[in-house]
Amino acid sequence: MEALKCKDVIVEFLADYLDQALPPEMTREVEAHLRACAACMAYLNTYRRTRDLIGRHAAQIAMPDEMQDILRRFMLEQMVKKNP
Amino acid sequence: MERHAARAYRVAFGITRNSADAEEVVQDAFLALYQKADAFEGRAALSTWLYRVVTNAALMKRRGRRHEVEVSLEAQLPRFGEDGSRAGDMSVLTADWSQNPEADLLSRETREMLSRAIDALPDAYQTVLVLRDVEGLSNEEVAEIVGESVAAVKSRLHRARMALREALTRHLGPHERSSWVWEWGKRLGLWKR
Repeated sequence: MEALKCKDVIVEFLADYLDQALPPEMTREVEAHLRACAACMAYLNTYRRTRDLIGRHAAQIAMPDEMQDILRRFMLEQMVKKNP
Repeated sequence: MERHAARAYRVAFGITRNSADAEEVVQDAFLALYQKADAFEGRAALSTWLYRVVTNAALMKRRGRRHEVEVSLEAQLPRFGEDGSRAGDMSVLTADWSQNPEADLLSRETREMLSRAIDALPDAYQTVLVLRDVEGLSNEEVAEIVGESVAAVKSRLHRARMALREALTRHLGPHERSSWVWEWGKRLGLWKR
């Protein structure tokens, strides 16, 4: 099999590699390329960190307290309507 | 039910990037939910339905608000040479900011930049990113919610992440040098391929 190029690793296999969803042989091919290519290794690390930062960034999004109270009241009203 | 509300709000805000719009979307979704509550056979069906209603309503709000033309995603993706190797300044290509101090990565400036970059993604890409990387849903669940194939979801997610990685690299990594440095190093075989 021809050795993988940067484009193959980054565009085709990176996401599945991180999800551990590649067959063992392909995983070995990707890892061989990563060991030899500093640019792709940096890409892998920063791609993984990007995914992590997206999640952490979003974890700070919380429903405002006032909105929670409105929804809570709304839910109670609906329950009372259904079961008077 | 409060857990559902919190999730619905995160998705609505993730797509609209506006708290007033997100609140309206969630309220409308819960009103619809109570009107149709008897139609759901299980929690999974309800959860998927709620995500779908919130996603669609949030996209409508977002489309109504957006005035600027979306930046082409192609321009935000990594570039490759004809031989399949990375193209660009090697100091940028090998820049690994993943180990930068947490204070840098989580600074207000970085968070605002990331938020703007997420907002600039085309709708279909942003939606998949929010459902997958923010909500942690599986590719299959996201495919069901957005009505696309799993392959399309995976492709959009990867492209969205790549675009955001480029934006973060421009923000956190070294500044690009002139292309002659890259060409010169390539000719001398300095860059490992």
